[in-house]
Amino acid sequence: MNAALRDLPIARKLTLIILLASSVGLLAAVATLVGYEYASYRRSLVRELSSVAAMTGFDSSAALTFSDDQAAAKTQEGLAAETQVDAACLYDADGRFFAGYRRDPAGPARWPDAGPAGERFGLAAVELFRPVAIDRESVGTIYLRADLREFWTRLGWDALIAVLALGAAGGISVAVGHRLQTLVSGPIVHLAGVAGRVAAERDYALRASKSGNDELGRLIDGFNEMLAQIQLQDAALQAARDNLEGRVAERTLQLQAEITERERLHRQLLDASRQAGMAEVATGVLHNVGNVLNSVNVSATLVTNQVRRSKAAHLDRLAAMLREKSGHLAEFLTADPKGRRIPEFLDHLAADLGRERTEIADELEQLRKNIEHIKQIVSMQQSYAKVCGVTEAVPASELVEDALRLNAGALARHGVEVVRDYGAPCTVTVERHKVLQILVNLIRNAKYACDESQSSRRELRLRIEAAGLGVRIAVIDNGVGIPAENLTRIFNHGFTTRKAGHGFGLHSGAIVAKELGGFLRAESAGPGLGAVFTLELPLHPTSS
Amino acid sequence: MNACAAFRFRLPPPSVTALLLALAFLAMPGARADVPREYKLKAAFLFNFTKYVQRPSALPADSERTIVIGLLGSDPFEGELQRIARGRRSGSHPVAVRVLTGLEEVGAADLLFVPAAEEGRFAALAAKLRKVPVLTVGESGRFLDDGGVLAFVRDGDRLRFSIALGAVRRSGLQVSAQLLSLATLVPEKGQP
Repeated sequence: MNAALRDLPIARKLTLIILLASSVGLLAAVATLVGYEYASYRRSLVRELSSVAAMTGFDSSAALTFSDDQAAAKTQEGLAAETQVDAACLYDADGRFFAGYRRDPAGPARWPDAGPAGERFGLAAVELFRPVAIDRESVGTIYLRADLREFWTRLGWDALIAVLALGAAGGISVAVGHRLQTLVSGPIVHLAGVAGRVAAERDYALRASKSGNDELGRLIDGFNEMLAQIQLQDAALQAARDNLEGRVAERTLQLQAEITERERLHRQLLDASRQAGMAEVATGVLHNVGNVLNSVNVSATLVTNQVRRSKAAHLDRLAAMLREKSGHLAEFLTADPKGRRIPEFLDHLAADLGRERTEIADELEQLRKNIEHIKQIVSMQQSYAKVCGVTEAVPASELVEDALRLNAGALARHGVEVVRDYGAPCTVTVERHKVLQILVNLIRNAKYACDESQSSRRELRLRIEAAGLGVRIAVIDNGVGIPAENLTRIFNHGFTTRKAGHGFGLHSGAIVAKELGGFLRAESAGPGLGAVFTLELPLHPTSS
Repeated sequence: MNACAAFRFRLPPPSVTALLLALAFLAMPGARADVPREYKLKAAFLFNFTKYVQRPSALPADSERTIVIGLLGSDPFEGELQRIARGRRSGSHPVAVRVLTGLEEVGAADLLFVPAAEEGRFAALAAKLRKVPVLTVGESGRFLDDGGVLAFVRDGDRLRFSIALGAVRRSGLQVSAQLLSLATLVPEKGQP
């Protein structure tokens, strides 16, 4: 009911309200009137019947007194004039039936028991008992039964007239109300229409027109004012939106430029790190080559000096002497003391030259070995440089060994003891040179750390162990260690503790480790307690 | 109606309990085996007659005046009427029952009952009582011929009564229309 009402148009709602209110009021009035009519009809009926009973009772009192039921019956026949009385009877003072009367002799023959004075209203009839008295002395009771048909008919007519009046009044109030309700509903409907148009057309220039200065007038004023504000804000919003689009485009351009710049920088950084890594490897290679070249130089100098100081020069002088004495060579060889000493001389010379040859050959062999070493180093470097971007399956231990070899000279020179702690052999599929670049850097750092340490025993431990689906290579030194505050920024670009360092090694190492799908981690118990750098790599490169 | 109201107004209020008692006796025939039912009824009727018959209006009204019911010669009710009247009033009047023998006594009664056995004596009295306001009640049809006002008549097992209109007129008594309506009226001699 409420929900159905809620969606009715306001004009219908107002009409309905008027109809309902007037109907309720009229109904109350009708109910009151009909109720009053009912009560007064009832009262007057009882009064009428009472007077009939009083009269009949009085007229019958002598008959009762002298037990003359025939006379009583005769008296009661007078009731035929009282059209509403259906039946009547008399009881004697003991409540026994005395005489009765029925309008319809065929009617029910039973008489009720005598009752105390009073009325009993049923639907069809009212029954009434009254005492019969001679003055104040009761001589019996009279009973009257009146048909209520007439009573109900009168009441029905009253109700019908009241309902007709109700209908007429309702109709009039609705007709009048319907005309008058437009005073209230008209502006609301108009307002709703304008609001609907505003909503549908988004036209905030629309205005509702005002019909008075009552609450509705104020509502319409407020609505118009709101519309004006919305219009203003809408315009401002539109302007801001237009402006915003320009700014967004501008900003997008800026961002694109920034992104491009960033990508460029990132590429630069990657290049730099790659170059730096290669430089590391190159440094290692050149260092080793330099060391070996030292030996080569020594060997060459030795051979040069040997050749320069060679006894072979004595052969020239002996040859010149023999050419001078060519005419009397025999004499000379036999007679001349000088000549006689020549064979001995030749013996000594032969022995010396033989010794010289052996020494030079040894030295040259040394030289050849050194050159062979250089060749190995160079070819190794070439093998790393060559395989850029190509992955291959390599035993982890081989990678570690290569890195150690590149640092072998330096480690030996600084008296660092290398401990190999390789677990079960495992093979990783990686870009070989990238791993090597990291390991070379780590081993170099460890060597420096050991250098700076006061410890008498310098130890570098290399541990390889399986870690889940990868391998963990730990480079452990007992060097100076890392203060806790530095641990967090040790991989930052430009961070270094060495005077000659450029703070690039670990940074690029970390980047490369990430590129390989692994990571690089630094741990240290504190200054002087050594450090552990752990490189963890997947056994197979991830797709990224 | 008006007449009735006026009549009722003149009626003195009777004692309720006494009437109830009387009716109770009526309702219980043979309750007192020594008094025949007929005489019980007659006693009750006699008492009630006093309610419906008034003295002539010319006489001074006295609401406390005792109504005297006289029984001529003997008491055939054997004290029944006294019992009915004891403590009761007819209207506002107390009622006394006396057995009367002398003529002078008869004149003082309001109602004089003449038992059948005494009707011979009444004939002698009748002439004297002609213009005295006494309701004379007898037990036979002849009683009215002798100048009596009212006579009981047996009608099957009912007890009825006749009233001689001439005697009523002569006595000056006011007899209630209700009482008249119950009675068999005997017209005055010489009238149709």
